[in-house]
Amino acid sequence: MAKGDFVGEFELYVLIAIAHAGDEAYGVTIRQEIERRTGRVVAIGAVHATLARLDEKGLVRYRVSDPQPVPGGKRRKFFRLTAAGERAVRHSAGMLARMLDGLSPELRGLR
Amino acid sequence: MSGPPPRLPRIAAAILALAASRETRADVLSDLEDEYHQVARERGTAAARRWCWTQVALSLAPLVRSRKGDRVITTVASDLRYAARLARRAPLVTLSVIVAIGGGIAAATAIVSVMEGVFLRPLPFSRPGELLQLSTVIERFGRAPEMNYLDAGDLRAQASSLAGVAQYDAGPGTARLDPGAPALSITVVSAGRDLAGLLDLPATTGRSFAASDFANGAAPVALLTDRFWRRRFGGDAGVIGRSIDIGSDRTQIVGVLPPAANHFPAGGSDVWIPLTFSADSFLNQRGSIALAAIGRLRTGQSRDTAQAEVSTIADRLAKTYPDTNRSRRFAVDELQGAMAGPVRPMVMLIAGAIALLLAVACANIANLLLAHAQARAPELALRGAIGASRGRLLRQLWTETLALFAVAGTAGVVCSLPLARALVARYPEALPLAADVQLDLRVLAIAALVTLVAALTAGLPLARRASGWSASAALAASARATAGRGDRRMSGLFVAAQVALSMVLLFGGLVLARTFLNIAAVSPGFDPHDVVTLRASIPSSSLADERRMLAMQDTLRDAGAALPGVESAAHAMFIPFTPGSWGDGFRRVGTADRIGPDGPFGHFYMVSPEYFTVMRLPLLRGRPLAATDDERASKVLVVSETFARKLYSNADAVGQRIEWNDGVWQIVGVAADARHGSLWDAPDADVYVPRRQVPRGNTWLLLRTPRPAAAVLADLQRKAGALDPGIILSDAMPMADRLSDSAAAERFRALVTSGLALLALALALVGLHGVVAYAVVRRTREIGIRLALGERPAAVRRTVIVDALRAIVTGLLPGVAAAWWIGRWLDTTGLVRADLNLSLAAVAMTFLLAGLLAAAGPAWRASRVDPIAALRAE
Repeated sequence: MAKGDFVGEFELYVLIAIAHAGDEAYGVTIRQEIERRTGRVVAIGAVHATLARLDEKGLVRYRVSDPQPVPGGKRRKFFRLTAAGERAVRHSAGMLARMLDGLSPELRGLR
Repeated sequence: MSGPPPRLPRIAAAILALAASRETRADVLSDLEDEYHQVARERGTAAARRWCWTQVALSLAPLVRSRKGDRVITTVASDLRYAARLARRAPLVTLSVIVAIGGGIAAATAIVSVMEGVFLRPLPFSRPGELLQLSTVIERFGRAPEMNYLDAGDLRAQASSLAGVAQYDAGPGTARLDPGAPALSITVVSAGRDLAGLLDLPATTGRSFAASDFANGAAPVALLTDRFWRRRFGGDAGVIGRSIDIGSDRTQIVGVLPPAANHFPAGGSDVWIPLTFSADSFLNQRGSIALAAIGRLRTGQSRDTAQAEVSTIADRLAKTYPDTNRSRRFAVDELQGAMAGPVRPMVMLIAGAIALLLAVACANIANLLLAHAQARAPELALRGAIGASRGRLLRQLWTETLALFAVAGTAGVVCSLPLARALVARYPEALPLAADVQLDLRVLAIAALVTLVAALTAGLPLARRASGWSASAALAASARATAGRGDRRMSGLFVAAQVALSMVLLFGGLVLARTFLNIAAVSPGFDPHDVVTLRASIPSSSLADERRMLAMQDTLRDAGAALPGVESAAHAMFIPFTPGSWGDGFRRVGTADRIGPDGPFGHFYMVSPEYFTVMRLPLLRGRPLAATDDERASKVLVVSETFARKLYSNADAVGQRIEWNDGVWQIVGVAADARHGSLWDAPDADVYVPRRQVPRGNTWLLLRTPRPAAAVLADLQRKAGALDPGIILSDAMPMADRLSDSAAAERFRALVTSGLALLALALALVGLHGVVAYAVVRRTREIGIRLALGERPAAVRRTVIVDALRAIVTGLLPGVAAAWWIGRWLDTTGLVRADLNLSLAAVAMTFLLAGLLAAAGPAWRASRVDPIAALRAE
């Protein structure tokens, strides 16, 4: 496993949120997905700063959409995971599972 | 909810755009906007704004952190971190800057936002640049922002450069929203038929006035201003068609004016009613000038063309109606300027005082930073020695200063809005527009600029010093731990600057405080204490029958006199220090006087005979008015002392006769002078006329009683209600309060400037004390040597005090010059009445004494320096 595949906690959340949102993964949906699932207030700035970093690391790719079909509609960047990104999610999730294995249910957050 | 979506807070978006990198900027802003609208739809605009600001606050750190590659950002960030560490290490310095500069910025931003609202923001009417105020200029009396009704009609018909002319009268009135409810005091605009059209204010709910509403005897109708409608009726469209009492008229609400009408006239209004009067009213005669007038330029015409044209028309009218229009001219001014004009001197005065305070604070902080940097000289020298370039050190110092000021400026801006609101709320005159003072981008830009200028001013001396430091010199200097000559000179200059600036401010404050006290000490000529005044509105059904009206006025007076605790009671058409008067020309019988603009002129007050008793207005000669001077008796008058002196110089006025108001009147008495309009002006030629001989519906009651006004009002309203439920009593107020309200502007000016001046004085003295004390500490070794060599402690004390005095006198000289110049300017504004030279001397003495006091402590400590300890300390 290359060193670049190590991702931080928030980076991991963003990657997972992209996976959840599927074809609709852009800034707003990603932010709302994390907010909904974690119950924490998530800053737009944090999401975009992280997306830029993940893009640099080659973990995500984006395509720019046509303008939205409304007056004054904007172009949006839709994100998807690259193969490396998928690997990173799998790797982190697996590591986390292995690390938690054997802990009491309370500590694993299951109770 | 329909309509366009609420706009994203622009300031929040700008901050976010600044923080984001070029690559992410567009995406971040687009997301912010999308979600803002989503939140606004779901939870309302207020929640959306909160959400937006939270997002911006939380996004700053991650966005800035993500720009790590950026070199400038990295350096600035490291400098900022360093500055923050330093700020924590010297909390007193940090706190001083934030309090002094933050306070100054808060005051400056507050006054700028008020000025923006009053002078810069265009009036909210369509094509506001075309709107004009029309005034009448009479050679003898100067300019009045009013116009004769018939003159205005002539302008409307003849001036081709004007698209329209409209008249109105704005004044206090009462409204009773439900029968039996207490009457509210409101501002009523009696609108001429063209007013709403000229200002382009069609009713937003219900209908506008129709031509038939202006017919004599038409059923009373009213339009509500948007403000009054929302405040009193919760914006309920169901009020259209309801009837309320305006004065004593049952009036039907027919419509609501658009919000722009809240701003007209200056100070705002609550209710508009049609301006109507009978054909034989004094308003319909050429002689009277009693209605305000505005005009609108025809598109493409200029104010100068209009002015030339109305002047020509004035000349023509002077030839056609020489009796009334002989020396009458017209003036046209831009409406915005005319509305703001009366408040300009006071607002500029406050702005000037705040600018001075801010300058004092800057000088103070500059000194503090300089002293602080002195203590840091070794550290800076060390950094230089290990390779930091001079530019790098300067950037570090500037980053520190700017960051500190940015924090102070932000704190100031945050505090400025409540400060501006408080200023407007306490402002004693009608402020056009400023009621909705706001921090818009323009005000924020000015606040940022002011902060930057303050930071540059306060930081420049430090930077100048720093760029002169050479590593070796600084290290040597730190070894000696004494200040160089240059530093001391610079500190002294800053103290002098503070003294000069705060002296000017203290002088202004003192002059205005003296002015207020001088005005308040003027005797009105009558005894205003223990007199309750209140207005009585008599139903129009009773006004129509003159005998019934007169009887009702007397009955109300007698009911008042019979109340427990009331000594005596009177009624009058006008009362002193309350808007309303009857100025008129007359003719002395047996002279060549002509009635008209260049004949004799007096102020006529219709009063019941008890007026002199209630007001304790002394009668000097002849007899007072009596109950027998009624409509059947021969016409008599009492005149004021000034009247008698001006018009009958040496001869006895009693027994003389004048022609006035289509009759011949005999003077039966001379009363002492009384002031009616303002304590500033010399007494006028006043005339007291028996009410029954010139019957008028306008009724004020005056009761001599020590009881509170509200209690008297309640008691009398009960009695009046039994008499006729249509009678409405309102505006109950002790006469003494009316008097002190007339000096409210003077009091406000005096309080604001004196308050600012005392702050400046305190800052200047703290600065002086700091510099003197610091100088003593730095010279401890020198002083120790001198004491060891046998100099007496008294001589050491003298040296320190002379040094301090030198700094004060250096500031005092330019301060006196500037104050003298400001005093001359104040004199021309007509805002002051005080002995300027005496005030100047008093202020200079204050500074000398206060300076001695500030230097006394350090001087005492200097003389107590232990030579051995001082030398060993090295």
